[in-house]
Amino acid sequence: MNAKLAYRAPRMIGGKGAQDPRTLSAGSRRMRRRRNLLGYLFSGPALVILGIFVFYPTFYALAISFTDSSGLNAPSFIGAENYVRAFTEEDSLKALANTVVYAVSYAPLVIIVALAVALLLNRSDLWLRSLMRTVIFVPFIISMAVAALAWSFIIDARTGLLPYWFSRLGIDLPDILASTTWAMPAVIFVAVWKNFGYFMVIFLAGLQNIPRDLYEAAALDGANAWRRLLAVTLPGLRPTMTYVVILAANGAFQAFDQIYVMTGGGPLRSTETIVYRVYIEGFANFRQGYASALSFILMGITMIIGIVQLIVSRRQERDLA
Amino acid sequence: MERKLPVAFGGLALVAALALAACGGGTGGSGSSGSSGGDATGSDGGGGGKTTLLAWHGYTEADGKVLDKIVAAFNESQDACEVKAEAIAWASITEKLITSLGAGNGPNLVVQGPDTGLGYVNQGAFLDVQDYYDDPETYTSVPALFPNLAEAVTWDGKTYGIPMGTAAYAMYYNKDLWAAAGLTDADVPTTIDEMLDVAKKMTNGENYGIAAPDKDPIFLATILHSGGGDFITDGEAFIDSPENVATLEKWQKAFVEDKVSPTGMDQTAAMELFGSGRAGMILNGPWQITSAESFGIDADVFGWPATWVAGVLNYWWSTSMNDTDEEKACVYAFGDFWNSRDMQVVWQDSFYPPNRSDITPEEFTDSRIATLAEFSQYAHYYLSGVQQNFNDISSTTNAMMEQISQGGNVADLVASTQSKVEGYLK
Repeated sequence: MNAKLAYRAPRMIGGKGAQDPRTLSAGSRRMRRRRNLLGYLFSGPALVILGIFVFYPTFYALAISFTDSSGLNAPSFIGAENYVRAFTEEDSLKALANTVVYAVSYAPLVIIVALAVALLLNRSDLWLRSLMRTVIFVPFIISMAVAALAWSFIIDARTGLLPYWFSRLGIDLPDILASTTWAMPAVIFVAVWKNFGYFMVIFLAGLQNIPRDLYEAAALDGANAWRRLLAVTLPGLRPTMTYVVILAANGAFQAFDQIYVMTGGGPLRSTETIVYRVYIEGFANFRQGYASALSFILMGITMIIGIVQLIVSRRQERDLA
Repeated sequence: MERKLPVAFGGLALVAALALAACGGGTGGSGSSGSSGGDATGSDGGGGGKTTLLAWHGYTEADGKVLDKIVAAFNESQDACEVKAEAIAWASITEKLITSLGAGNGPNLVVQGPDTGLGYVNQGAFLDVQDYYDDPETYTSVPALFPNLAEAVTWDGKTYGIPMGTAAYAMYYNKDLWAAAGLTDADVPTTIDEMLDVAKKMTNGENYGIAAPDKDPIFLATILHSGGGDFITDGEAFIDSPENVATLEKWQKAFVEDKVSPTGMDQTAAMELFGSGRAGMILNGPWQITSAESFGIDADVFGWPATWVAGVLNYWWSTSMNDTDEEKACVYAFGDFWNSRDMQVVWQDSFYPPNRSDITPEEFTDSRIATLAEFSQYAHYYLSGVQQNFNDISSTTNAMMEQISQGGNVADLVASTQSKVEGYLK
């Protein structure tokens, strides 16, 4: 037997260091093809599922966004009319404005709260630290609809615990969910309460990746806690922060569950977001083509946010380097 | 390596098979798919040509059991048709109906009110049942039905729904508070003014005469119509009128000066107040009977003292899944059976009064249902002709009424609400 063929070190399939296939022996080429086929086969089931339940519906939605589809009729092509309507119809513009207000309020708030709690729970001397982390994370694992339902009962003007407790202090709370002033803060609060535990865990992981000696060096240089936060912690969390900001912003633009459960987009559309508008247009107003156009506009907005964030983040990293 | 290939192929084949099975659609075996796929062609697995209809409804309480009883009786009464009733939460029906009909595996029959019904009619999802109404010799229940029930679902000369569960809203009163206020059967009001007087008599420091939901458009529509005015009819708003201003000023006095009811309540809050035993009367649908019992309130009922009252109106709708003559014939046969004398007597066990006018008082097991039946002829849909923006219209009119009940300027509020609602109706 040829000693060279008896053993061959594994070669990378493609990429750096991979050998030019034209120089491989026939046996090696067969082996490579087999490995490639194996890779495709193992990823095949996931690709099939993604194809059926993600890619096909996405392309179908894109197609009907250029039609007058109601979901029940045979759709007719109407060009970009749905997209034009999205930027000119008062209902959609109001929903977009509400979504921006929601995002601008929710994202910074949930990040600040999550970071603050993560900094607190990152202290090794904190009593029952693990238990507290678990308790804070628990709301994230329940569904938003359940959380919203629970909070609806808690803040209900007639039977809720919160108005009752405040009334014992001599404070009469307004009917929060029926108030155009307070309904939006209420739905934002529920989202922050439910999600900050998740971002806290991400921040905790990021905090633990910051080298301890940087803190020691800063302390030796006379930096106080606040200075260490600004000079060591926040720069060290930059990659984590980029990830969290994108997640929070994307989550904010997709707000629906708690609005559906708590306010139904009201009162007087003060909490109606783009996704809720998509739901109403698609399932109540029989305008699935228009609803699809709205959802693609939303996708475009979140993509732009993500791209901008990545560009800014990379620029900052280049400046630091 | 040798084992990985078969495993990989096996996994891919399994996923593909599962995906194809999921996308294939039901063919009669599944409870959530329409019958058209399997049985509507006339041949089924073993029923000898029986046409199967899938019916969706949202009755999940005791009324659902009565519905099942009637459906079973229909299936036993003949061999040509079989109805399979499926209880689904009302909100889920709304969400599933479009996609299921669009995909061609929806129900053959569905229970909905006129509000959602019109939208589906305009999309071609609900078919007219005019053949049912035009053939009273075959469908003998038709002449006995209350005419206002068919009117509510008639558009452009065609009727689209068969009455299923209908009732006029009525005034339920707490018999203990009634008696404590010195009232007797002779004091049952026959006019709105008499009703407000009775409410004043039952109002004292602890209790209110009426649980009046000023944040409920059904209540608002009812009091406006009763005062000679209008609310929204055939998709047009008639809120701003001298009659409505007069009516609302009368009710404002009742709220602000006579304090017959707290303000800022929706219908749920009103029911809670009545259930707590602190309100003498409430305008509500037939479910108030079981609600009062659950709270331990001894309640009786009298009809709303006017010839127009909002009604709870649910119909059987024939969907676009019924594309054969056999299916349509079965829909009509089932509707006729549902509204037959015997079955309407059975249906009263759900606390809904019958849809037909010829049930005699002796056939009612509960005198309250007999009272409701007297007023079914006055039941109307409160938002006729409206196809969308229900939430916005309700929010706007609720805000108007709440401000009025707290002393706001009636004329100004009515005028501004009229223009806002007109915007939503365009």
